Amino acid sequence: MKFSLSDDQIEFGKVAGQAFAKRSGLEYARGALDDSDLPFPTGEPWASLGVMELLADESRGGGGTVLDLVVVAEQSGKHLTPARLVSFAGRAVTLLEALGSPEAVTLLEAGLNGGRTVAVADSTRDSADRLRLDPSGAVHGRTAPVLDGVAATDLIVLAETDTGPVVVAVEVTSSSPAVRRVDPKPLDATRGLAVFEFRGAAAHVLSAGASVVPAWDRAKNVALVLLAAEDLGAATQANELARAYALTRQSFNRQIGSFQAVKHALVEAYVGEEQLRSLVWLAAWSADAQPESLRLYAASAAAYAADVLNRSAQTLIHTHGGVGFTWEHDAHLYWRRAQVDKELLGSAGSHRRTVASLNLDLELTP
Amino acid sequence: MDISDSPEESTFRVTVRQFIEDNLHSLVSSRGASADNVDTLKHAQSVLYSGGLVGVTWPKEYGGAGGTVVQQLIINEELDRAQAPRLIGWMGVGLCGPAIITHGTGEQKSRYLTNILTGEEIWCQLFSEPGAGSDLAAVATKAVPTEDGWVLRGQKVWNTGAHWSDYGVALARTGSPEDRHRGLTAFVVDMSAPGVTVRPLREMTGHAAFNEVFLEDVELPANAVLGEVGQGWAVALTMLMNERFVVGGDGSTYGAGPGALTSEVRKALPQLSESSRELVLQEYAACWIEALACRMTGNRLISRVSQGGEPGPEGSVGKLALGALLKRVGSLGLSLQGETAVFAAAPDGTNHWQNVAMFAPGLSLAGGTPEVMKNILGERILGLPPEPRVTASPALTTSPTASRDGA
Repeated sequence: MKFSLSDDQIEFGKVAGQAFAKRSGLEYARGALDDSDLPFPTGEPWASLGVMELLADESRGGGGTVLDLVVVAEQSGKHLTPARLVSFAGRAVTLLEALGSPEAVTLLEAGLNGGRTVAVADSTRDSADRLRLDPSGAVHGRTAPVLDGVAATDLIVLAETDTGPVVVAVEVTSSSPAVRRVDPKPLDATRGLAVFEFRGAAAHVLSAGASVVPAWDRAKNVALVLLAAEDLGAATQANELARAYALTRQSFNRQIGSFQAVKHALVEAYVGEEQLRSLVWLAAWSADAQPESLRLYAASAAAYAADVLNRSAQTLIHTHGGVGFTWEHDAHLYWRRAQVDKELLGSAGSHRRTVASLNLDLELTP
Repeated sequence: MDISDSPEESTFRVTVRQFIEDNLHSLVSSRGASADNVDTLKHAQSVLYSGGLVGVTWPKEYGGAGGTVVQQLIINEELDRAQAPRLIGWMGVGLCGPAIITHGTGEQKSRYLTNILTGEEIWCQLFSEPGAGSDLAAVATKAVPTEDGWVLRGQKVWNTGAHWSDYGVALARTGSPEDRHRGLTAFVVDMSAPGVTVRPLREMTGHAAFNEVFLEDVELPANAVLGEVGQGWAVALTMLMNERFVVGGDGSTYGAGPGALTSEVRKALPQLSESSRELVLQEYAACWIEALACRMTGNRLISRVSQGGEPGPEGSVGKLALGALLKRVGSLGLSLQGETAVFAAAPDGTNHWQNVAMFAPGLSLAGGTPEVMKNILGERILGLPPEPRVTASPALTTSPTASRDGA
C-alpha cells in the first residue's frame, strides 16, 4: 500500500500552482461582480504544462492519470482559476476518448488545439425539458447550468431518442434561433455557468449504442472527482487564509488564534480538509485502477467536498469578523464558490442518495 | 499511489487469513474482554503470537518480526473480518512495550518485552487521576525516594484493564507541583505489590473495563524507574502518541463501521414514511462516507509511517473524527429501532445499538478530550499560539483543574 503522491506529482502540483497564481480567478471574480459584461478569461498561461490533454491518449500528448489531474485541480481550486479542468480536461476529454468515433476524435482534437471550446451539458432535472433528438437530427430541450458554458463553442449532450440515448455535439455559437443561451448574473462568475435551450438545434451524432451510457457515466464521475479536488484546493486555501489572519489579528491583547473558540473552529476545518483529501485521492485512484468502485467513491468525495468547502468558507468569514463580510475581502469569493459547487453535477444530497443506494444494493462496507 | 496490497503484502495477507482461519476456534470463543474470560483471551493472544501476528512491527531482538505498520494494518483488518476480539494485551503491545523499547534499560527489556507479546503478562496505563485527566501535567501521585528504591502514594483513575493487569506504567511526581511536567517520573508498578488496590468502575454501558487504582505506600525497587528520574513526561508522550495512533489510526472503527448499520437501514426502510426514508438515507450515507474518510485517513497515516515517518499529532485527526462519528452512528442505529430504542435491549434480546450509543461518548474522551485534541492539532500542526499559561501560584496548585497545559 502506498497512499501518497509521488515526488513527480508533488512537483507537478507546485508548477501548476505557480501557473494558476499568474491568472488567479479572484481578480476576475471581483471584476465580474461589478461588470457583468467582463469577458470570461480564455487565454491559458498554463497551456504549456500539458494539462488539458493529460487524460487524452498518448498519441495526442496525453497518457496521464486522473490522480495527476487531481493534483492540478487542487491548485486551480486554490486560486479559483476558471481553468476548464472539470468541464474539458476531465469530462469532455474522458468522454470523447471513450466514444472513440472519428467524429468524437475530430472534436477532441479541435478542442485540444484551441480551435473549438468544448463543454459537456446535462439535461435539466425537469423531465418536461429533457434533451431529445428528433428523427431529423435536431435537438430539443433545456440543459442544466453548464460549467464553462459561457465560453463554449460546442456542447456535448446525451439526448434521448426512440431507440435509446445518443451522444451528440451541438454548435452553440451560431446566431441560430434554435439555440438560446441564458446566462443570468452568476453567483460565482469563475464557473462560467450558462443554461442552453434548444428548439430544433442542428446536432452531429458522436456515438450511439449500448456503450454510450457507461462512457457518459465514467466521464461524469471523473468530473465529479475533479470538482471535489477543486473544492479541496479552495477549502485548503480558505483554511490557510483564516489561519494566517488568526496569527496576525490581536484582540484583548492576544492573537485571536490563541482563543480556543477560534483555534478549535480552525482545527475542525482542517480535519475536514484532511478527511476530504483522503476521499479525493481514493476516488482518483479508483478512476485509474479500480473503475468498478468509481461511482461510489466519486459520489462520496463530491458529497463530502460540498460540506467541507462550505464549512471552510464559513470559518474564513467568521474568523475575519466584520471584515470577512465586506465586498473588498476575498472571503466571499470562496463562500460563493462553496454555494455554487454544491449544486454542480448533481446536488450533495443526490450524491448521498447514490452512496446510500449503492451500499444498500451491493452490501459494500467501507 | 497504489492503495491495493503490494505482491508482498498480498502474500502476507493470505498467510494471516489462513492462520486466523486455522485457529479461529480459539480466537472467537469469547467476544469482548471481561473479568470472566481473561484466561481465554490470554490464550488467544498466545495463539496469535505463535503465528507472528502480535507485535509484528517490534524489532526482532525483542520478539517482534521487524515488520511494517502496513502488515499490522493487514492483521487488524483480517482479525476484524474474522470478528476476533481485540488483543487483551493491546495496551502492553501498543503503548507500554514501545515505551520500554524506547526508554527502558537492558534489564527491563529482557525481563518484560517477550511476556508482553505472548500475553503471559498484561499491562495497563496508570496516568490519569481524579485531578489530572486531559491535564496530565497536574499528576499529584507522589514518589518518595527511600534507601533502596521508592515509595508511591496517590490515586489513579480511568485505568483500562487494571483489574486483570500484571504490571502498569505509572506517572508520579518526583519534583515539586510547580515543576508541572518537568517534575514527573515513570515507574513500572507490579500490580500485585502490597498497597496496590484496584477497584473496577462501572461504565454507562453497564460493563466495567476501567478502574480506580489506589497506591498506598507501595514500595518499588530502584530499577522500577522507566527512563530517567524527572523525565517521566518523555515516557508519557511516547505512550500517548502511540495511544492516539492505536485509537485513531489503525483502521479499527469500534463499531462505527456501518456494516451493521446497512442491515439495520434495510430492515427499517419499508416501515418509514417517504420523508423519513429520505432523512434516514441521507444520514446513513453521511455516516458511511465519514467512516470511509476515517479509514482512508488512517491508511494515509499508516502509509506515511511505513515510509519512515513517526506517528505524530496527525493521529489526533482520526481520534477526533472517529469519536464524533461513533456518536452519530450510534444515534442513527438506535433511532432505526423505533419504539424499541428506549429499551435496554430489543425483544429478541440483542442490544447492539444500545451498546454502541452508550459506548460512544467514552471513545471521544479516551486518550484525551476532543478539546485537548484540538489544542494539540491547532498548536502543533497549524502553528497557532498556545492558550495563555496560568502562572503557578500557591492558590492555583491546590486546584489543579484551574491550570491548563494540554496533556
